[in-house]
Amino acid sequence: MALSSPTRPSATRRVVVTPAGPSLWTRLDWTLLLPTVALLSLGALLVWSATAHNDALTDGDSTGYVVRHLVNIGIGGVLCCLVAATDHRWVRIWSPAVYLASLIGLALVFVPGVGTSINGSRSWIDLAGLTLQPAEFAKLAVIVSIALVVAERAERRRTPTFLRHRDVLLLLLIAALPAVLITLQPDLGTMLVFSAMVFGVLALAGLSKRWLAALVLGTVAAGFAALQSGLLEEYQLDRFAAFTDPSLDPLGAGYNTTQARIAIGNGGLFGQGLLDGSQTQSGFVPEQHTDFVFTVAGEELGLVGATAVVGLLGLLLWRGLRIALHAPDLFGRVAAGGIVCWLGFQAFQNIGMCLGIMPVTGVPLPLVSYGGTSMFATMVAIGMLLNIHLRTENSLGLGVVRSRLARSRF
Amino acid sequence: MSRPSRPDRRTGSGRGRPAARGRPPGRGSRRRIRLAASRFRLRVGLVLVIFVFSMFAGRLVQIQGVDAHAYDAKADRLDGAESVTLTAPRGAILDREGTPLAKSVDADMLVADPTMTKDDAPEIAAIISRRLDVNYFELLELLRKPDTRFVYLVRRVLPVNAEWVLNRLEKQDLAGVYSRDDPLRVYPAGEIGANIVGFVGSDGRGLAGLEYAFDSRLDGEDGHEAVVTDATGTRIPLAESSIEEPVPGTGLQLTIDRDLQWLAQRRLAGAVESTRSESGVAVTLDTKTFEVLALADYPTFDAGDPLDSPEADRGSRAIQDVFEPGSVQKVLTASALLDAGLVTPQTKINVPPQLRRGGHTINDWFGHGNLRLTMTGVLAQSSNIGTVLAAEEMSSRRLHAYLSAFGLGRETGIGMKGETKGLLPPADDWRQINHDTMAFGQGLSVNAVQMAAAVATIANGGVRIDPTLVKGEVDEDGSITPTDPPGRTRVMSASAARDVTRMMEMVTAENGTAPMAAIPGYRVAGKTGTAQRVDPETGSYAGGGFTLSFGGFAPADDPRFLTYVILHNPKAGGGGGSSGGPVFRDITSYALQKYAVPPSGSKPPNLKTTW
Repeated sequence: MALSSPTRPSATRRVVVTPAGPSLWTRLDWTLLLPTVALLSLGALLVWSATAHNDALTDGDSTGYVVRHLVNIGIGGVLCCLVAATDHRWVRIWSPAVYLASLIGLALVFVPGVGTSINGSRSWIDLAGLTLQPAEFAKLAVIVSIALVVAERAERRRTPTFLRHRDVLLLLLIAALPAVLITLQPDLGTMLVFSAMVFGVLALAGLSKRWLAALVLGTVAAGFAALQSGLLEEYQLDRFAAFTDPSLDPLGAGYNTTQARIAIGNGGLFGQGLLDGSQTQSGFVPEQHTDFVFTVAGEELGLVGATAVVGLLGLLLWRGLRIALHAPDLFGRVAAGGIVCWLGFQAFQNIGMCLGIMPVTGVPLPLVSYGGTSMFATMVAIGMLLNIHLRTENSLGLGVVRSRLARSRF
Repeated sequence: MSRPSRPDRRTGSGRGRPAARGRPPGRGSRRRIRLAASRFRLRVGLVLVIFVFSMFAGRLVQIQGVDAHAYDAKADRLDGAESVTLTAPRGAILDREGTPLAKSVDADMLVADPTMTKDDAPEIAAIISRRLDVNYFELLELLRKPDTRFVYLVRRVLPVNAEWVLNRLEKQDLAGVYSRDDPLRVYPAGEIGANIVGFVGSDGRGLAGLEYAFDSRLDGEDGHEAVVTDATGTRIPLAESSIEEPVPGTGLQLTIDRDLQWLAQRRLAGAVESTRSESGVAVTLDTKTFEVLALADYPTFDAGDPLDSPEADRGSRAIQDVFEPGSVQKVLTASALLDAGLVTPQTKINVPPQLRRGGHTINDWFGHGNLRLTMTGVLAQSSNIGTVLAAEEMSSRRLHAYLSAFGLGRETGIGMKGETKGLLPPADDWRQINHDTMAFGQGLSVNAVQMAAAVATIANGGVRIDPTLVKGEVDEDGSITPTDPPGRTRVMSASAARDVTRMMEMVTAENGTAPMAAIPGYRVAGKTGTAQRVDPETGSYAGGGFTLSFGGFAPADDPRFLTYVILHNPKAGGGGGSSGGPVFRDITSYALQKYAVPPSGSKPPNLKTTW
């Protein structure tokens, strides 16, 4: 290593955000921001196209949805900036509060009069006309909380740090509380994303292969038990069956899959043009402004547009992983890695469902789908990534060096 | 790491930041979970992201690039998706002025989803069969058909009836029956031109007439649509690529004048009835273009309900049936002789009461002693003997060549299927008697259009044009593509044609054979015909009766229209002139008026008929 840094490893946590050095403007991670802004813009266009002529949905107000979507983006942008600008210590301090708040929110969905049921899931709470989906924030809260616990445990010691088994149990408990509440809603899609995300965060937190294997086995066993015990709703089983063979019931459970694939297939190379997709504009694909928004891109923007969405998401996730790799501390690394796990798996789940390589579950496409809570949570997550990146930059641009130096510590 | 960790008492309390207190025990690391794996695991995550997103890209290429058009085919195979035929609208058949003789109008078909109708099949079938002419039990079977979500119940239902059925079903809360477009063929003109236009079968394909002959052009190409029906019975179209738009059929514009056709049919019907004939034909040609303006058959049928009429009446006798032309043929013989310069209108012919020719005796239709007739007289009096004597001047081969040039013995190519080309035996097979009888129109056979075109050649100054019935094809937007210009052949010189025309004018003169064919104000050239008719049952002249005919054109000084009227086997007496003449007169005079042909300014010639 050519650089003979005077910085001692322990100094990494002591770096204070200073106005000195390159301006905030240049220190922002533009490679992360660019795909974010691009996806938000594309998403607004797609939501517009999916709702403009859907009078049944919009009551004839062709711009109603896109206006609300833009407002959501605006609120999300403010949240994102706030989080990005916050001192990371405050983020750590706020984490338990956010976690508790999400638990309360998840519990509130079961309170009659507050909780709202849509499509068979009690996933929403209605607060003074504002409909929120607490599970979206719960994902973020779990990531940050696990990162916090891991960091706290690791930072207690000066030399090689480790998690003890009871720490692992604590982490599992942190994940399990919201998981139980989400399962009770029931929201299978969010549960899938949640499980994958927790698994990823725990893997990044350094759980041993043995623990990870045990978790996988435990999940499979739990899933099997759920199947056997009839805990899963019939429609969920149907969806899985239809996923394996959509032709089993193209009008029922396989309908979404079939219509989604037909819409995407109809796009061809360059698509039918925005607002011109016959399947989209006729409203054959259900939930097209939310869960199936990717099919709008597929039909109206064609292979080029759909690949662009996939590519932008890929760029975003790659950037997120880089931020995790170069993060100046364990909290940042686990949090950034967890966010990537979350967004990555959710995007995988969503696009995979539209492409017929994943079963149909209702999860939104990050940054693209219509949906306030999801938008806010995702934007906060992007803010977190920016925050961690800024801190890496602030540590004299030595993120790479330090993380290598710190390897022995982590 | 194999054992659970033992309690670590030294874990600090509080949220102290760098609260490292002492070192872990040396062997502790074995029992604790190291945090070192995260870098590697992040890289694994990166590889996963790349892998998954590449898979997405691949899948997109597969769906949108490779499979894009396979989805309609795929949709067909899906259970519950059906390929529905989008019926192409059949081209209309129009008269020369654009009035439809046959057209397609909106109608509906009733279809059903048996999975929804099977339980209520008896009620549904009862309602449908009450209003529409369909078998209750067949409906029942269709409504209960297993393993499908789509059956056709009834085709080509008037919209008002379909609506009635659907309303009634809805009122009784019976779901699963729907209506779709299913164009119906109608013939607004009814019997007018039915024998030419023909009709379609229950499958909408042409079975007779032009509907049959031009079926593939008229029918267009049906489209297909893969359709999924959702749980509430609403049709869910699949992607656009699963729709194959129907190609509308091409329309036909005919040369027929609907009004003239109507008059021709009416007058012909009257003549057939009053002469108690078996059947009759009337053809009107424009002698300048050889376009068929009217082609009447009687008896005929209603194209809208063809099955109501006997099969024999559903075709076009004018084209499909042959007959021996009889004396009308004499004008062709005279034309040949004049054109060849073998006779002139004034050629003197001594006509004996009878003519013995190799064991046969040729008689005239009227008894007479020795007559001294000019060639004009022979034609005007329609003397067989005189014609035979005149035709002796010409070799069989040459006469055959002339008749063939007039279009006998070959199809007119008018565009109808099943046209018979008639019989003109090759000259080498002619014996003396054949030569003789052919000269006056026996022993050969023609169809009506063929013969009309032959006579019209004289009217057209000796140039024969292939007769046409189809003026052109009409596109969806109404533009007309004319058919290829018909072939033209000069058969005889213009002067010979003029001479023959003048000779034919003597036929409609006061002392000719058909004075009742005369049209006031116009000079009319014509020729009567009374042919012995072969009984189709026995194949011999005995008991076959006669074929009466009259062919003529007007104005003789500048011919415009030719009408040829044929009456088969009349039971009442009379000749071609008295029976066919008035029909000719009415049709032709109507045409002359309708097309505003100025009356002849000149007087008819007064040629010498005797010497």
